Amino acid sequence: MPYKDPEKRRENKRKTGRTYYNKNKEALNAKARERYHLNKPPPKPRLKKLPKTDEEKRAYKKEYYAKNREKLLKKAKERLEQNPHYYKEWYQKNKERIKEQRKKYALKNRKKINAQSLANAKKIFLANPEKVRAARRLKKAKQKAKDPQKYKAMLNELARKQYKKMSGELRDSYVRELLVKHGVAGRIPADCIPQELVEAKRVEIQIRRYLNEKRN
Amino acid sequence: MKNVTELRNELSQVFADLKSGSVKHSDAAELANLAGKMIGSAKVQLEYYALRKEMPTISFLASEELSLNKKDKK
Repeated sequence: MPYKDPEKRRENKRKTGRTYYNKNKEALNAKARERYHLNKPPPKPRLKKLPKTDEEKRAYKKEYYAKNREKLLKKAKERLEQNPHYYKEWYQKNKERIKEQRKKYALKNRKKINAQSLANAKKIFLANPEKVRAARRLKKAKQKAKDPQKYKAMLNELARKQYKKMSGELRDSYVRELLVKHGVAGRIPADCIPQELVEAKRVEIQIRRYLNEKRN
Repeated sequence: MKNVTELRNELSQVFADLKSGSVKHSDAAELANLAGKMIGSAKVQLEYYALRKEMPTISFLASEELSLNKKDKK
């Protein structure tokens, strides 16, 4: 609306370039500002950084299970109440996938798993050696009773592997056995061979092997 | 070279030289062969005394105490 006073009208025109003015402009602006702030949409929740590496994923899962333990247990119980074979069926359905996953994981972490299982086995053995020995004997006896031929083959395979390892590393026992193997006067016990002789023989074998390697 | 310790040291030296290339392959092979013969002869000597149940000090193996009596334990 224009000013009634011509002077004021002129002045307004000069200042703003407009004939009309809005005396409530400021108040309206303030109101709009207030309205905007009041009706401002709530800030979007920041997405949690998704885990990328396997370790991060494991940590994330662990955290999730720890956080929602009660809820998850309750859900599991409900599922079992509805269908007592729910998890068995689920496993049957996903068996192949789970096996594949396990294989991949084992391949990736074999060293770590081996070290861990060895440490666990040692711990159990140290806690109760007699019991562990008895369990091992029982297991072997069971295997033997089940299929003697297979058991024998397994033992042979183990012995072959052990021998390969011993010969590869040129262990004392291997060198000693080698020395007494083709006895001229008769076979003497391997522990009769003095250590110095064993060590000399070892160096000789090392030289022979090196030469063979180079020749091939 | 008077005893087995010296033989071993000598062989170790040969092995090191062989690796570094300062000894010919054929020479090293001959030396290793010779060492094998020496070790074999010491072994035969050991067997001989073991069969006779004797425990003399073998000068070639003098650096190590002989334990031939272990056979009786087995």
